[in-house]
Amino acid sequence: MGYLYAIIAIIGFTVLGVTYKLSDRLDCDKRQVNLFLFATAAVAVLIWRHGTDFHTHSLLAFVFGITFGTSAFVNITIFRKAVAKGRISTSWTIINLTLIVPVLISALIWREFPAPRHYLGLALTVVAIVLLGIDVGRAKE
Amino acid sequence: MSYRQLLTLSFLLNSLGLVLIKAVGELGLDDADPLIVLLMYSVGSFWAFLYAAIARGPFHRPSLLVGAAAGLGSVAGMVGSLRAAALAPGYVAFPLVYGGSMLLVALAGPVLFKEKIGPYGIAGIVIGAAAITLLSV
Repeated sequence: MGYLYAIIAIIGFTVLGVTYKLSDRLDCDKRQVNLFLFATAAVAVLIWRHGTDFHTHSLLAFVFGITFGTSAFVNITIFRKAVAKGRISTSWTIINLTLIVPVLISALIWREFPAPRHYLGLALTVVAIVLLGIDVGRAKE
Repeated sequence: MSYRQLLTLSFLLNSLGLVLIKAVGELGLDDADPLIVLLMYSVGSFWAFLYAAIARGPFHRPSLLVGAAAGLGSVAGMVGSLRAAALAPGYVAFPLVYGGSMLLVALAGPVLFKEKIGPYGIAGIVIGAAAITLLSV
């Protein structure tokens, strides 16, 4: 069953990634695309969590939710503009490589030191970013 | 802003999001996850509504369809990865989900949108997928 959910997740994230370029190719109104993205997702979460008690006494949860929403809106707006100027294949790869940041922050703040395989992953991330940067530069020439 | 500048900014904002997700767990706010996720999409809707209202552009049907598909994709990706991580070993679920979707979107570029990727780009994508697999295990 876990693998079925993994496939659903892969399809979901792939659809999300592809729609960035699709909205550009279909000459969509990017502001409206963002609005329908967030609104559909909010409704989908309400349906998914039907019956869930959303009540909490934690003010921090509200602060995190509002911060997440604001940064997600700004991020999606900026990334959509970036994809309109470049390629989705390399842009999406670079954005996924942000996985390097929580690994580094966890080591610095929470003293969760990476395993040897993580060090290799960090090194490969740097190599991948350099290679993709060269590719972006060459595409502009 | 140039492509590089926009992508760098997006990289930093995405990083901030991932650090906040980590902080939610560290601060013991896991129980409030449903509220945080709902707030995230609702607050995003609020800003997106204001942003669209300022432009006052005519309603565009393809934008609705593409936006709705993206929204469903976002939730399916999030719910699917959470459930997969709960039911399958993490060292299988996370690399499969993040590496898999990254490679599929990279593949969609040349196949669906006729993007041309140079040898450096192909090497970067393959090495990037390997890096994500190692980091998410």
